[in-house]
Amino acid sequence: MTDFVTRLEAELHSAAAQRERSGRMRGVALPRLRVVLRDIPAAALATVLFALAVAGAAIILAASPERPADMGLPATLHGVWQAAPKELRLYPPGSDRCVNLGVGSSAACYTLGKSASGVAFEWGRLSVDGDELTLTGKQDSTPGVYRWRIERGALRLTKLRDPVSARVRALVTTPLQPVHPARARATLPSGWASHPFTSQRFGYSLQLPSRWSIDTSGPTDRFALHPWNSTRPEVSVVAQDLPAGTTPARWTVIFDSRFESAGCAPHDLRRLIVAGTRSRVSVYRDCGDPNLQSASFMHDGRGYGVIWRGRRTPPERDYPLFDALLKSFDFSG
Amino acid sequence: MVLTQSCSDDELLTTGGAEGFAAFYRRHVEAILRYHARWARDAEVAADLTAETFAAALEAKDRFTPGGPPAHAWLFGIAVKKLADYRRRGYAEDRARRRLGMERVEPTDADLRWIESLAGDVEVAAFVDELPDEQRLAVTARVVDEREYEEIAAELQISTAGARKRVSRGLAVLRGRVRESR
Repeated sequence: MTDFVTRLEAELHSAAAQRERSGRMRGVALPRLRVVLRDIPAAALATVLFALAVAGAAIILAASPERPADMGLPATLHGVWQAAPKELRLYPPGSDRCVNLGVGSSAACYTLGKSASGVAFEWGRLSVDGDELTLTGKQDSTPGVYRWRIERGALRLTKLRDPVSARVRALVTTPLQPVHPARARATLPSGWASHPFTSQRFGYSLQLPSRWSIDTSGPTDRFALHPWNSTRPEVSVVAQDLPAGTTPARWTVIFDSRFESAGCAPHDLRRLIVAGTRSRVSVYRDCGDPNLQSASFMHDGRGYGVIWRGRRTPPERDYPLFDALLKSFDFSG
Repeated sequence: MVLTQSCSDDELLTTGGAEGFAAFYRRHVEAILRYHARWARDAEVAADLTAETFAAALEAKDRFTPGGPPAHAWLFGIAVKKLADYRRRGYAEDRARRRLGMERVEPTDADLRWIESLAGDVEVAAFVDELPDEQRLAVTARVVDEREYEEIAAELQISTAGARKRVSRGLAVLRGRVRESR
């Protein structure tokens, strides 16, 4: 919920690290180097620099540990695990979240935070080797190694070695309950996002489930197994030209206001890249449908809104299904 | 340096490096957000002012003297200045953030709701506006801008004791109104 606090910390941390690096270069190493350089004749200097380069390369090659293979993250561990008041979030390699937190684009990562607000107070890289889970925080780079096992659906961690006592207390006292149990195990049904559809009036294409029907007779494009019988899930798409200067954030507020004015409060907010554009997905529970998700994004001065209406709860169960449809959006036609 | 929960703010700022500053941020971000939310009365502005406050603190941390005024007071000093700048200019500046190459962190709707909830006692700010001018100016100068009584007295052209009295009376009125409203 308070993603702002976490993202601002990531920005500040990155700026502080940058300053630290440039401060070290400016403040210590270079002046000393300059003093030395001034006193050495050019030929001797060239010889010394060459020798240093060769020696440096040799030292680095000899001393560098072999980079461990990326152990990935078993699908059973993906997602959010809670033991109030704490929660542990485990993200697979390549997650936007890991990139945003400055962990790296190809690394699996974790956040440890407050379950009530979702504010992360620690995050970093993670690796899994068999039943050993290693968490290396960005704030305190000391790794913590735990043995993990799933017991009656809950994640139980046993400390093997971790000098960070606050992390140990957060992780091992009680089993961590899965918040999105089905999300991790969800697989797409066969033929999902495989049937192309192009909307001439709204100027987009997307891939639909193979057996779904299309209803374009109303103000929105509607897709479902039987869109005329209100079957669920149903996806609808609408687009409208926006006044010049409208920002994606403003469009999101406009589009989502229809739900919020009906008294619906978002249960979750997600971000997704749709056709190369940042999109925000607001998730509502019991807003007309038990599971309603609204994605909004802009393309070429037009605001697009895509609504998922489903019956499955919790809504997280449908994330992979809706995401797959959203990711099939295309504007190139 | 190994960062632990027991590290003092001074240690975090002076020897903790980037990790130390991040830990210092986590300790104080909620208080700074609450302060800006209460007095700027706009959650989005509060978010921007908070980001700018910490960016300015990061820039200035090498000048922070351990053993002097507490680090949180030093941080609030920066926050007070950023809020005053915002009031004067009518917008939250982003110079420190730009100098550091930081991107603007856009709060989500949920963030904004949370920041608004932090303000909590936002009605107090409304009650301040309702105070008689002489008390409002004195209370704002003392409590919001954290200025010295001597300075307030000089500006209002009254004695220091008079400035104290106005602040004290203003706060008493506020306490009464808050009590009535609950």
